[in-house]
Amino acid sequence: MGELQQMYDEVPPPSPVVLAEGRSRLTTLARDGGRRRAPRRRPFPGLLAAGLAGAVAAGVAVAVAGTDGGSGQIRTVSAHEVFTKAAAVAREQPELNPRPGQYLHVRSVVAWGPGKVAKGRPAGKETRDSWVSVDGSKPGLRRAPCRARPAKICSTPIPIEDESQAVPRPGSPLWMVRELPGLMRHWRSQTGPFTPGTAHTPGAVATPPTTGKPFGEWSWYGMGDLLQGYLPPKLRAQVFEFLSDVPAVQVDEHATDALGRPAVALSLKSEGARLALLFDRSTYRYLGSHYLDLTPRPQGMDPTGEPGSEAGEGKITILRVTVADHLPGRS
Amino acid sequence: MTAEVHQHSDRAIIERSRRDPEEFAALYDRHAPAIHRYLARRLGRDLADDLMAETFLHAFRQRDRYDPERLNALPWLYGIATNLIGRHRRREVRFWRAVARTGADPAAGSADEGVADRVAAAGVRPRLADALSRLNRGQRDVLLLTASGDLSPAEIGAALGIATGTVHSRLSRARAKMREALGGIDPLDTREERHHG
Repeated sequence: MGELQQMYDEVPPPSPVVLAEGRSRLTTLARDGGRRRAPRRRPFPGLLAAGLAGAVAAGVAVAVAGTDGGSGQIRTVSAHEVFTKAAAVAREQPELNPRPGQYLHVRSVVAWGPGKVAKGRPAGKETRDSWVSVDGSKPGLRRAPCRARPAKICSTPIPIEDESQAVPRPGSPLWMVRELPGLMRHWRSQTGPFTPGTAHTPGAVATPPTTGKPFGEWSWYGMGDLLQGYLPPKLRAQVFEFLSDVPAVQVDEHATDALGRPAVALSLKSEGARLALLFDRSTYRYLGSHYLDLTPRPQGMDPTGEPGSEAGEGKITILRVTVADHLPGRS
Repeated sequence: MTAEVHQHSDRAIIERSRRDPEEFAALYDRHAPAIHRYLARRLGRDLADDLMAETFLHAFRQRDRYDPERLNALPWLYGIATNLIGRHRRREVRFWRAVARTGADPAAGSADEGVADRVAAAGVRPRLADALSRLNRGQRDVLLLTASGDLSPAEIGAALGIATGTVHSRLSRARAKMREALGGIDPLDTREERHHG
């Protein structure tokens, strides 16, 4: 076979997620009758129109502000509307149907700092790959640039959290799929004002409970972690619908994700930080998150050990999620 | 016969989409993987994810100008994709230069991507990539559309808006430059036995 033809053959097909995203963008434009000339580049026209029309019905019209908490344009756009549309888009995504024993391969881009409260810290960006056991029965693997030699890729095992637990183990994707609907019902029953939880660790995955009632209190930060992993389309949509009832969520339609793409950010702040969930401005597809320290952290606090964890600002964009039967070979 | 039905269906889809815009998604379902492969080969997979969608958005907006004489929409879609690649010409050159420099091919993938990188590094890929980066845009378009295997010379001409004779002349010059850079190896020649490593 000719070398050039072989080069084509080596290109893997687009993932179902990528295909679904492209189709969603096309059908969104088609439903609009093709009137929008460049949906990705326009400053969120659909949201603005929908927000103006639906703000009263939604009842959660909020002020637009920068995700850094600074001043911004005041508009009656609705976080409820964005979450509702994001839920509809999520439902259209293909189901990956991961099975016990398989892995979920997540590729993401992480960009960090320097944030407003850590100006001396360097900025950076890297691509990370993780393979997470679907049912928690096996160790996973993470690949990212090595700390000492960023040009080299280092592989780090992801250990089993607690081998004494039954499979699917708490915190694993299949466990989350099973438990999350009940957890959301439990969270909805919580009385009083809807307030973000206190525990938050930027960049960390949802922490599996070890004792007591799991996820007894809901956390905006915890939901951010959940969305960065695998959720079936229907369940992901339910999470967005759950979040659509959260009051006081701020909307910034001029945000960008870790790749610099235009995004709309829905954010809450607590405990001296703000976490924004980022959505594509045109398709409302979930892109990732943006974490920003609003006050300096205690000296030497590095809860994750990740590069950039003390930079005061970090963005994560999920590039693709696929199912794998095996871990990749060591590099 | 199957190909004919397929081609008729392309035209029919576009015609139906003029009355019912959402019908256009059927064209996407049929051809998006091929367009993605072409874009990923030239610009890498991440940018291809976005430009694949952009290709169909452009096509949708231009569907009223689609030539009803053309049964197969693939050349039209490849033409739009190639125009989009042209907007990223510098990035494409950097892409090929990076493959040439590192031997790692970010467009290729496998369960162990490290293996793909090592295979690429061991073969003629770096020299091939370097030679591709040195072709002018017109020659690279023709060569890589030919290598995609989806289009005839006449269809490539339709995709690029050039005469079929121009396709042949550009392809001939491109192959000559590639052979010179690769020590006599024709990267389109499927008959040639080559030594790796």
